[in-house]
Order: sequence, then structure tokens, then C-alpha cells
Amino acid sequence: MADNLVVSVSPHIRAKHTTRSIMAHVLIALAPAFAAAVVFFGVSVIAQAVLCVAVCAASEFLFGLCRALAAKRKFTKHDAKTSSIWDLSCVVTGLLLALNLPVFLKPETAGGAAHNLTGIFDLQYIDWGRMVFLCVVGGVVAIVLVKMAFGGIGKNFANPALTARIFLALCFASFMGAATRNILAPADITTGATFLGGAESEAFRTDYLNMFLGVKNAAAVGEVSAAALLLGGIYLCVMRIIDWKLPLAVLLSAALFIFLFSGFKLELTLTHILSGGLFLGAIFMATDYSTSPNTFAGSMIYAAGIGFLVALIRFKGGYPEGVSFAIVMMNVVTPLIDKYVVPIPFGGRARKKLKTEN
Amino acid sequence: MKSFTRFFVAGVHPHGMKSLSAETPIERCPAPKRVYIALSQGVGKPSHPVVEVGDTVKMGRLIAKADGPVSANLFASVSGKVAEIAPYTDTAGNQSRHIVIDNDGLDTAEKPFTPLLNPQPEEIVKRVSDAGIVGMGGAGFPTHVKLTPKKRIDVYIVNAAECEPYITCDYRLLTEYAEQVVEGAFLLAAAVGVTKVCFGIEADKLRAIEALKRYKAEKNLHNLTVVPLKTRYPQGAEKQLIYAVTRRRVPSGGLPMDCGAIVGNTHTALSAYYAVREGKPLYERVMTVSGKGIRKPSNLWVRNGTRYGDIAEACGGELNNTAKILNGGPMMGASQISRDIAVTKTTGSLLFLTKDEFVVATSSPCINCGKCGRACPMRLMPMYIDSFALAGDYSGSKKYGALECIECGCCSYICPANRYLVQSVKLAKKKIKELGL
Repeated sequence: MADNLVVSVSPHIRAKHTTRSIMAHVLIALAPAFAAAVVFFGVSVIAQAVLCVAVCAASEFLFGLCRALAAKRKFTKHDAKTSSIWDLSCVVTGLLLALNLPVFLKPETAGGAAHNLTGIFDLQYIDWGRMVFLCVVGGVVAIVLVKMAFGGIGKNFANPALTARIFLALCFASFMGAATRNILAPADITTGATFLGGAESEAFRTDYLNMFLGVKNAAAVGEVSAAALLLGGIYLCVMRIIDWKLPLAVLLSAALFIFLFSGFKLELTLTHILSGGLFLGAIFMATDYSTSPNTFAGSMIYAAGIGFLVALIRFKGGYPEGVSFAIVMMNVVTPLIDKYVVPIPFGGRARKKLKTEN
Repeated sequence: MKSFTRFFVAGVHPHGMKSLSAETPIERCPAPKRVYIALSQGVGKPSHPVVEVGDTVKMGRLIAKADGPVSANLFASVSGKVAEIAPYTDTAGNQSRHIVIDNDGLDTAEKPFTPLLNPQPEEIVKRVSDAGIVGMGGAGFPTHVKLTPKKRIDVYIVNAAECEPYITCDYRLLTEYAEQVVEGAFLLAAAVGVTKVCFGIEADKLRAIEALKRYKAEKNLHNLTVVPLKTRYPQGAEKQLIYAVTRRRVPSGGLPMDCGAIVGNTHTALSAYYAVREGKPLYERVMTVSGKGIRKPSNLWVRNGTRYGDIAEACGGELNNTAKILNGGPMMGASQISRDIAVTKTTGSLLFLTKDEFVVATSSPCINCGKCGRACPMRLMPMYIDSFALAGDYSGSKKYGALECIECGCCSYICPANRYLVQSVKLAKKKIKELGL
């Protein structure tokens, strides 16, 4: 018999997760949050998600094309087939970006008109121009500036979707911060971004169950339902995509520092935890592989840092929502953490050579 | 009582695939027409032939002598005539010298040694050395070297973890030859002046544990401890096993004897029993022949020097879709380039894998997930060793622990980007030694 044998290096078996399957699982985990966003903010959320994903994928593909052209190489069919967009990470970035944007209502509805929204199919108040503009700019910033310019997947210095959100929030503050309205929230919860935007815009709330489920206002559509985000988070933990300890540590450290900064007010702390982007940040953003530390000890430092910065920004800063900034800041600190927090090999550090070789 | 199972940190859990051959009793593989006995079987110097072409040899006759302290004797595994001493492909894919013996089919045996009933420690060490016994788990390190430690030893651990998928030969040995294995282990322990023997065995190997416990109760052996371990790869790695069984850590860069332990393979203990009690040298062993590419997965007594093709025939032949042959398990085993290669003392398993049983991975960029670091049983950072090694900065690789690597393959196994991490570490190790970093 001819020896038509495959010869390759060990190990000959591999775990079933690949980059692509991991990204696919993240997309599945984001489904409940996405569904909640559609239910609470209307079908225009679908449009903004499709737009963001398309822009992200297109800009990643075009980046590869430009790189080939810059190197005076032909962009072949093979290049297209092996393009990095097929690992689906740009789709995850796109969807996360969409969930980090507000629902785009027409500026003139900022006052009372937003109350007229009656159902998820009510599209007459949607500001399509603003949506397209912000999605395109956000997608390009996330993929080209944050991810591809630094070397693609695994090399980005900060979470692409979050950095794009911050970019948009700082450059187009009026565009981003304008009216948003949760359809199912009672009318007395006004159109200001969130309760965090100031005590007067949304009453200090203690109906935690409603807040947990998503009957509240939110600056970004994906943040609205802690319950849906938690569901996705549990899925990721069960599928062993993320380590449950990191999101839990982020939430606990945020709770601890908010409790301290608020002067030991338990109810206010709970309201803070359930408002804003803490769940979205802790479960889907802080756990981003490339920008979180590679060791358990390092990730605990990272989580503590996020919690501290969230509390600091929310209580001492001029900006209502601190999670994005906190995470991106700790993203940038991550290489430093990884540099200094190196596990001691099993059996202790290698002793210095006693014998001198000659 | 302490927790039911003991474990080390990290590791991975590949699919066991052991049910293919776990409940098949050990049989004898018919002796082939010709055996090809490699002069180099495991680490150390190749042995030095002491027979000439044309000599008639009996089964059990010394045919090659150890060359130096780290080397082992070889014995004829069939009776017949030495046909040639020539280079053939060995299990590593290299051309190396083999002694080829034409089998006369008579199996006329000679016992070169007299059975020892009450041996002194030195006699055991000498017998183990004379009988050519090596570590039969894979590396093939001569056992007599291990039995002359420079430090005080207080526990002898038998490695029965068998954590690699597919392999069931140690499990079968313990179920069927518990008495001989245990006695052999006590002999090896006695050789280093130790009375305490521990068996480290994965907790899912219930029948083997039962057999050991039954024998222990029967003979009232106080010094025998059976330690069930968590089923996890690489539970059978020396340092991890010592930690799991005794909670001692082998110091970095050290040997097991630095923490008072010696680890030996299950089959090594059995071979020691035969050598000491029956005077039979090591020329055959039990191995697992498994995989979906073989008609009858089995556990077989196979003579040293039998070629893969002959073994496959003894197992009902290959199914026509075998795509890969492995010497060893799928995590650390070596894929073979031909069916005309002969097994050695260290071949614990021979796997005939079909296309859907293995992966030839295409690697993609590292996504920095840190899974490799979490899986590493030595707590290294494979992702940094890899990136430093690929960038040519081997001192950087060293800093992240390249030299501590036990090459178990957990990092490559778990890597979602399918990177060749173990190979990078091996490269780094080699370069660090070459450059003297």
C-alpha cells in the first residue's frame, strides 16, 4: 500500500474553538441585548446595526485591498477569500458599535414630541441622516484607526467600538447627546440621556426590577436591559468564551467604589449599577481579548481600575457616563499590567546558574 | 477524608477516545517474519551491536550493549538469524542503524538471567540495567540512571495517569497484571531504599483502581497508596503528577529527586518485575493500537522491532481511509512517514487516524486571548514566547519561561488562532542553548 500519510507536527488534535467560532458565539451572546434594544427603541436599531456592521466589514476589506495596492501586489480572489473580515471580528465590532449609539430622533423632537413615539415600528421621528453619518464615521474610526492601523486583530490598543463611541461623543457631542426615548418607559421619565445625566432629568429610582429589565432610559441602545446583557454574559461563560471572574470583578469593583464615593448610600449604588453602560461594558467590552490582561492577577488589577475610574468620573468628573472612558483608559494600561504581572512558573523562578561553564 | 480527586493547575480536557480499546483484553501480536530492532531507542547514546550478520540468536539473547551510562541493552525479540545491520527509517523519521533478524518461527528462548527472589538494592539496579529497561512512557530514559539518585528519596510514584487520548495500555496492564505491576513497583522502590509506593491514576479508570485496591487489601500492603487524580491532560506529566500526588513542587530546572520523589511508568514497573523475578529481559511490550483507521482496536503484546504494517495486520488490517499514523498519543506523539517503521521499547501506542480525527491547522494572527497562558500547566506565557521567538529575540522567550516548557502541547491545543506555539517554544529552547543565552 502506498504510504499516503499526512505528516504534521503535534498536537494532532485541537480544541474546537477558533477565532471565528468565538466571534460567532459573541454575536449569539449579543442577540438578547440587540433584541431588547429593538423592543425598547424601535426597529430603527436594526437599520443602525446593519449599517455599522456593513461599514466595519467594508472598511476592513478595503484596508486589506489598499495594503495590497500599496505593496504593488495584485489583490487576488485568494486574498479576498482569506481577508481578515471572515474571522467575523469586524461584525462583532460593528454590532457593538451599533449598540453603543443612541437611537437617532429628529432634533425637533427633543422636547415633548418624543413622547409621541408609540411603538417599535414608529419611524417618523427617526433622523436618518444623522444615523448614517455617525454610523459611517464611527465604523471607519473603529476599524481603520483603532484596529487595522495598529496591525489588525489582536493588535488594537483599545476596544475599537468603545473608542469609536468616545470619538463620536467628543467630536459630535450635540449629535450624540440629543434626544433618546425608551418606548416602554413611563412618560415621566424624560428624554435626557440617563439618570446619570443629572438628578433632575430622571428621577432617582428605586424600582430595581424595571431598571434591570430595561424599562428606563439609556444613552446607548445596547445598555438598556441589564437582564438581556446578563443572559448573553452567562452564555459566554458557559461556552467558555470569557472567564466569568472578569465581568464579575468589574461589576463588584464598580459597586464598591461607587458605594465609597457616594458616601455609603446603598440604594444610590444599586441605581448606579443598573444605569448606564456598566453591564454592557463589564460583559462585552472589558472582556475583549486583545485589550484585557492575559493573567488572572492582571485582570483583577484591570477590573479594579475600571471600577475606580467609573466611580471617579461619575462622581468627580463633569461627564455623566464613565464606563467607556474607564475601560478605554484601562485598555491603554493593559500592556503595562501584562509587562509587570507575569506568573511565576510552576516550581518557582529558575535559580541562577551555579556552575560557570567554560 | 480529602477531596476525591487531586489535580494540578490548568491543563486541557481533550476528548478521551479511550472507549475504542479500553475494554479489549490484552492479546499477543503474532511475531513477524522479520524484526527491525533500532539501535537507538529513546534518549541517550545508541547501543553497540554485539552480534554479527549471519549469527543465529535465540529469543532473549543480548544483541546490542549499552554504550556508556545513558544507554540501554537490547535483546533479540525472536529466534532466528541476523540478516543485516543496516540503516532503516526510525520512528523519528531519520535513517538510523537497525539490527534485522529473520524469524525462524520457533521462538526458542533463552533466559540470560537467573530469577532473584530476595534481591539487594544493588542487585535490582544491576538487573534493571542489564535487562535494558527504560522509561516506557515515551522518552525512553534508562531506568537504572533514575535508580541511582544523588539525593534522598522517600516516595516512589508509579505514573498510571495515562492522560493522552486513545491510549489504554497502562489501564489494561493494571486491570490484568495488577499483582506484577505492584510487585515491580515495590522492587524499583526498594532499589532506591524506599518502602512507600504511590500510584497516580486518573479517577475515571475505575477498574484499574479497583484492581489495585483489591490487590492491596489481599496482601495487606500498608505502603501502597492509590491516588485517584482528576481526569485532565497533562496529568501524567512528571512535575504535575508529583504535585498532584504529593503536593511537592519540583524546583525550576530541577529533577524529581530534588523533592524526594522518583516517577516511573506503569509498564516500566511490569518490566522490572519480569527482569528481577523471572529473569526475562525487555524485548516485548504491551501497546495500544487504536484509531478509527484500524479494523480492530486492540491492546497487544508486541515484540520489539515489529513494523507498523505487521501490527496493523494483527489488528484485522487498516480500513482504507487511514490518513495518519501516530507513534504515541495525539497530543505529543509523532506522525510517521511510512508503514515500514518498527516499534521500539517506548512505543506505548500506535494510532491509525482517519481524516476526521486530526487537524492540520492553518494558523491565523494571535488574538491575544490569553487562553494558552491559562492552559499552561507550567504557568508560562506561550503567546509571548511565541512572538519573541518569531521576532528572533530568544532572550525575550527565555524571560517568559521557554526553558521551563514541558512541551505538552496544551497551548497549541487550546489556541483559537491555531498557532504553532509548542513549535515556537521548541525553536526558542534550541536557539537559547545554541546561543548560550
